[in-house]
Amino acid sequence: MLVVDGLRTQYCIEDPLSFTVNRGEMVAIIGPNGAGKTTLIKAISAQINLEAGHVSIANRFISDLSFRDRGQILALVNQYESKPQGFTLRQFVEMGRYAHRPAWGPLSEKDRHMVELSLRRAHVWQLSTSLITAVSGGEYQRARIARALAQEPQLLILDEPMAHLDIAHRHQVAKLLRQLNRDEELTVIAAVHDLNLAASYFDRVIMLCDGTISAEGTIEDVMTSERLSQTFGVPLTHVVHPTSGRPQFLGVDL
Amino acid sequence: MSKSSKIRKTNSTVYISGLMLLILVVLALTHLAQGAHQMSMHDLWACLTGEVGQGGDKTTYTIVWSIRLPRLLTAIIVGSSLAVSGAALQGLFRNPLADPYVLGIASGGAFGAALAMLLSTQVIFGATTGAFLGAGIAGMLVIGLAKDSASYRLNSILLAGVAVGLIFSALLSLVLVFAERQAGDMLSWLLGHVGHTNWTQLSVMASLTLMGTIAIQSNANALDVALLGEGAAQGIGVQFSKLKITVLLATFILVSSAVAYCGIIGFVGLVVPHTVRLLAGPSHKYLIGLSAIGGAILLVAADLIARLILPERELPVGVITALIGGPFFLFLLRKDNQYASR
Repeated sequence: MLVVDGLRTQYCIEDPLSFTVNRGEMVAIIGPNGAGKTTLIKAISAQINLEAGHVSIANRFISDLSFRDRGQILALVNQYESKPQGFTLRQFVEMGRYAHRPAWGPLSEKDRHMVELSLRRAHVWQLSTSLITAVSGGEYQRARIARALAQEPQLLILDEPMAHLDIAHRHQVAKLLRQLNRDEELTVIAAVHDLNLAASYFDRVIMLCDGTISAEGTIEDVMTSERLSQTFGVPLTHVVHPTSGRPQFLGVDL
Repeated sequence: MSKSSKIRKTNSTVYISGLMLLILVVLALTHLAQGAHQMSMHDLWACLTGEVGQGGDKTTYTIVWSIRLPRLLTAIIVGSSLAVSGAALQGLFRNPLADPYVLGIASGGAFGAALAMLLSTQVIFGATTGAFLGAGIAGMLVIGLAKDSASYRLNSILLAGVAVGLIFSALLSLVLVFAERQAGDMLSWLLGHVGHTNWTQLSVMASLTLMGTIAIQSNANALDVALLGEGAAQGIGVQFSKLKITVLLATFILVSSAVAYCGIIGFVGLVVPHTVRLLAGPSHKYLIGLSAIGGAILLVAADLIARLILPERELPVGVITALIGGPFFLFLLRKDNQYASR
């Protein structure tokens, strides 16, 4: 689905970096602050220019795609964006249809259907008529995911989708991504700060450190307490979640 | 629930457009009939439809076709240009303070016009050409200065526009100082007027306005998405660099023709788009068209007042737009506190 080959950027990622994400996978990019997670997200979604290397999505070089084509294959949920004033949540999600619509004319039947479906899938349908500026942080994040779904993407790339949310909303958003990945076979790549969320909901991790991939593989292989403690520079204790059985990490540095 | 609200939304937009068009038509007819030479609606209609030819009531015919109709159409076209470019620039820059003059084009045009008046005796023709040249030079300067590395960042464009505007304003002041006796004429030209255009000039204005407005309207969906910011908009499929250049060129065309023929008419481009957003929502799909109607309404009303208050000595229409637009806008802001607090 996504092939990154010898990628280098002007800042952060100075050594060539390569990895592959298969269709239907759910991959977390983890690493300490400044490791290059956001830079990597921006590079694979063509938001910044590459110094070297190639990124291809569904067997096409991303640099060869027009913005419109890219908007139909790849949906992006960045860390920051502006909230448009005065738009309802539904209108906000309708923006996701941009790459599928002609410049003139109203939304087609298909557009409406996809918007409706996306609102329901991201569990924000009941908020359709609320102003996007008036919804809570977790609802806003789900609305952004709904807007991304309205693009009918094959690949969803998110930068810190769970940041700044309380514990309930963090899990809600992570669970939503998991559901979309499982039920719709949507390929998901997300930069994730919260190690326990990454370990609980994702299939595979790519660990970045100083702009290079320091480890890559399944949760169990990569996320060991030694490696994590060393990478993040804080002692971390590995425990097994009593109900889910997934690895979790406790960090106390007293 | 959502379906019915959708329908209500569409209906209310249709209702608002209908109402605004009705207001414009009523104002336009009043504009044509009222003034130093009053005429009944019946006479006016006969004149417009050509039932009364030049052979009939010659004075009325001439007044309608050579004076009032060009003036009315000028007000409609310029009001639309200013409001449409204001709406587009506020959207593109995500800045509620943006107006058609923020990018310095108008200052360039004003300086060009004043300089042409200073150097030439053929006041009106010289001023228009001078204004077009000045606006063109200002536009090229803004584009040239805003280019950093490979791309144009919105803030760079805005800052370059403000800087270019300041420079041309200073040059304009210099011209006004040198002009001495002509300074009064220049000032009243600059403050805005809609009564100096003939049919040829009108057709030029109309085509430029139509071009600019269509270019902006065909980017209405992109302008909506652009409100999310450059990165998010590109992620959805908007080619932001193309959008920026299209909207900038379109507003350059709209603003330079407005300034060249009518001077600097303030407030229309700032207030009308905000008013339309309050009435019909922020979606550019409706905002652009309704702003065009709203701008026309405001300018026709302002010109009507300008002609009626002091029939012997015309007031600059720009002064009237600010005087009626300002309080009306404040009233709307007070009514909609949510908008004010944003």
